[in-house]
Amino acid sequence: MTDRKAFLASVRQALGRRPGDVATPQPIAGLSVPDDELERMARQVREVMAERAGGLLDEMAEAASRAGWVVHRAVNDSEAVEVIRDICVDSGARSVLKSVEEPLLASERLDDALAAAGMDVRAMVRPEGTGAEVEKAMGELRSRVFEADVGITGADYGIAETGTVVLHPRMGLSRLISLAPPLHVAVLRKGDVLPSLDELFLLERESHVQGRLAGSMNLITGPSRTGDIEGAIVTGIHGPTEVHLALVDRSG
Amino acid sequence: MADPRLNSALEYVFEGFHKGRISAAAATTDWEAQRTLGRAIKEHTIAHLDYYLGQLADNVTGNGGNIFFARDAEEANQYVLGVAKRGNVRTVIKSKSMVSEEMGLNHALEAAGVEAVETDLGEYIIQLAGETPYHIIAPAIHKSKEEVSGLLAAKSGGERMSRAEDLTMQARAQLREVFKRAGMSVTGANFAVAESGSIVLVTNEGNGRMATSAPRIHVAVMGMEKVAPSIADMSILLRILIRSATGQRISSYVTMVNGPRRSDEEDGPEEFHLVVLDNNRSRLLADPAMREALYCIRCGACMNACPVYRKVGGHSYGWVYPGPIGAVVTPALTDLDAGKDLPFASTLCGACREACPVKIDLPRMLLELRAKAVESSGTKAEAAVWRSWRAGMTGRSKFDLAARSARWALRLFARGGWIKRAPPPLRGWTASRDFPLPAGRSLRARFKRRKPERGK
Amino acid sequence: MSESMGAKWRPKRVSLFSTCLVDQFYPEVGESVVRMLERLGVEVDFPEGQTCCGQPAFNSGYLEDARAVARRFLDVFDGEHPIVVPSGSCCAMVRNFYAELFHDEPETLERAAQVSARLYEFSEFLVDVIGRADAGGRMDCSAAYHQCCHLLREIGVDAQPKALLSGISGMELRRLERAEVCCGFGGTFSVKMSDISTAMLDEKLDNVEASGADVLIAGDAGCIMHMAGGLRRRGSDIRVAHLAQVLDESGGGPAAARPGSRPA
Repeated sequence: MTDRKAFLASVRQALGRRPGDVATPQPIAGLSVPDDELERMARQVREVMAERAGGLLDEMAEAASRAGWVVHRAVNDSEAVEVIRDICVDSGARSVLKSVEEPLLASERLDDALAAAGMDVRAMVRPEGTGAEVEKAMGELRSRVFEADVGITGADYGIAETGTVVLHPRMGLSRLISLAPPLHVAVLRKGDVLPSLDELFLLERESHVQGRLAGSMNLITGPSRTGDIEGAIVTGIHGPTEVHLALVDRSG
Repeated sequence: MADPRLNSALEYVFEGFHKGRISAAAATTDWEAQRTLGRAIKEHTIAHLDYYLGQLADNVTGNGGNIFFARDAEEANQYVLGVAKRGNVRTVIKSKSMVSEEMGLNHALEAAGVEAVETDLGEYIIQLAGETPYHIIAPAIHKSKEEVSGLLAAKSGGERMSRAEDLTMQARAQLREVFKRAGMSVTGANFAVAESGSIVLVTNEGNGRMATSAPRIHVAVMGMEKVAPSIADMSILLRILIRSATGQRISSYVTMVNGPRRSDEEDGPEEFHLVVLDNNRSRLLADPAMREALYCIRCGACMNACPVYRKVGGHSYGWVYPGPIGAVVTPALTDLDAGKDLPFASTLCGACREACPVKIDLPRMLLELRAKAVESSGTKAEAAVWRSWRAGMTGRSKFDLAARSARWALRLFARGGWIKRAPPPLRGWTASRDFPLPAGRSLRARFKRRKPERGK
Repeated sequence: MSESMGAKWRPKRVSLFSTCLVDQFYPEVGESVVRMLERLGVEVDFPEGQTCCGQPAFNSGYLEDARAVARRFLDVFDGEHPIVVPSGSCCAMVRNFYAELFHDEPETLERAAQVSARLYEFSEFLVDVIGRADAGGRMDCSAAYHQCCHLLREIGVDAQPKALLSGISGMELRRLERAEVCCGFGGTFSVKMSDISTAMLDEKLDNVEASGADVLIAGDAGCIMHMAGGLRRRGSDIRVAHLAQVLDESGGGPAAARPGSRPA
């Protein structure tokens, strides 16, 4: 790539490097984590998540509600299903889309509860294969996600510092499902809450070093907001107007 | 100066941002430590920019994306146009990007027959109005609700709304239609990560997410200074960026994109392109006195803090970046005439440096630029004034003589020790302020004749 | 910068750097500084050759002219005694900006560092060096304190003047909204960019008037000249004074340290 070669040469020149000089950055003091330390530190993070699971879930609940989530607590999956059904019913939803990366969402229990309440429930899943037919099916799914009343997803992590839900789009978890419908429900489990952004990006870095980084990551904190009309904060400009977070104490 | 009524209406907005930043900083237990780390990351990265840009390029490509290094705006626009053409793209959605403003990308796309629609609500409003951003975080903050109402109604041919909520929903509906049909998105990048070839986007509205989810092609454009070494750096950079920009702990959405859609993903762009722009940034890089301008993370805190920005408004800076950072980068990145006066439009009060999350010494750079401006385009008349000032200041008797003659001349204009209308060069002062007549006897003269007070 | 020195080090003699503005426009401020120092048992010497620190030319981009004046400043203030200056701005010029000005003149840089190490802003000297935050006497008035930019943000002196003011009994300190925002002076900026400067001054003076104070107190003659000129144009009766003046007029000094006479 000639653009790259010439460009980097001019950067080197601006930095005052002579031909043959090789930039060898040293770690940034007090900041850089060596790769061999990374694994140990990531293990510590996971230990903290487990040991402080209850406290972190409480902190998450508080930070999330400050950040604009409507927070619900459920002791187990059955209660979580009821919580989700009630949210959908209260909002007057008719059409619901869900992701299937979270076991609760993949189960038929939720579908049955929503269907019993008169709602159309679909999973947002790309059909197998490739080619024109798949593209057509995806086009339909996409228009469905723009029309749906509610999108339901799990949560890979919560972040207690900020009240953030973290999602890594992947098989079973569409990028748009937490964004396009006017109401988003996220299900977060006890034990999945990180203390702060620092731990999140440490774990993310570990994933990268281990070669299992997802295609993207979304940090979601409250509803879609704008302040662009005379500084007044209004929700729902592009994403959901309303976001609900269901915190689940234990599975089953 | 801009409309004074408008400016006083805007004061409270900037004061709101400014106070938000201050309380967010106060609520962050180790805020100073975060700033110090943020600055350390930027110092380190910029000092090794060649290395990290190379690493970024390798990893973007390794992820299945494309990277293009553009020397200037023209090259960057041509690349983006090429991507659009190859993809048979008729509509491009744009997520807020100051670099694309710098490139004039919308004009380039439209000249090539490609529809370009801004999706950040503020940017959308000013695009409908045919204007340029007033502020890098709040681009349409100068538009009244009535103006917005007229613009949105004209767009859809629908009725005029009056509540901000209804206007927002009207814009949502208009932009949804564009999201559905757009074949390509162009976003900025708040940060890029060298080790993983990622870009990070911060929005409150969700348009950054929409842009990285819905269209088939995603192009991100960024200034070359936006790269950081590691994923682990993101927590610090995001924290200081967001808290400084809006006073929030975090924005509604932060998206890290690590290349195009993976084969097993449900949705997402099939193509990912990253355009890295120099556009004279290497001038700043090459100048040790100006290099730290490249540490800027575009949070806007310096403009919110700046008493001059608050008075003159965002359209007075002549180019894309307003406020103190604009006054520093505009003269370096452009050859615009407007840039030459900008370094002088400051009282050097230091509020910008205090607000800056990466502690950029903006007043020092403004001083540097003043000296450069004098060197390159100072007038003979002004140089003569300073030469005579210097002569008067380098000898006490000359100083006293100069002071006496100045006082003698000014006495003609004074009444009761004050001057209401002074001759040039003090005319500007007395336009709005009285000017005091110098004292009859200097401190030096008084000191000579006094008896010391007794201590205890 | 000198907290560690506490009050243990008690210089007998100081040199006064009056600044060109005080020398020519506000000699009474300089006299107050001298009286306060003498009442606190410090002899004051006025180096006769002094003129200016060079800041006006430096801020305007005329570095050679600034250097000539700054070098002369270093000559005039060569010596051993501490130097006291009743200005945050001129103090910042010597302490912070001489390093920029002389970055490629190692010998001058060294001399500048020596002079800087002896240089103290007036309130900083009283509080941090000789440990007299209680040097105020009595003055019955209501006052507002404007935080001059260079004093606050270049040399970080803010607690010291506030401590000295709160030591004046009878003085009611009023809250001044946005006291830390620039008044719009900025040296030649006030003349060259008169309309922006005026807009900034107007906001400052609106806040000053809203504070209800009779006296507006500041620590830099430039800001004082600017705000006083603006208030006079408005027809306001509010007096603008330097910190040294109110301390002096309050009868501050050793006899003034009356325990228990703090204002509410």
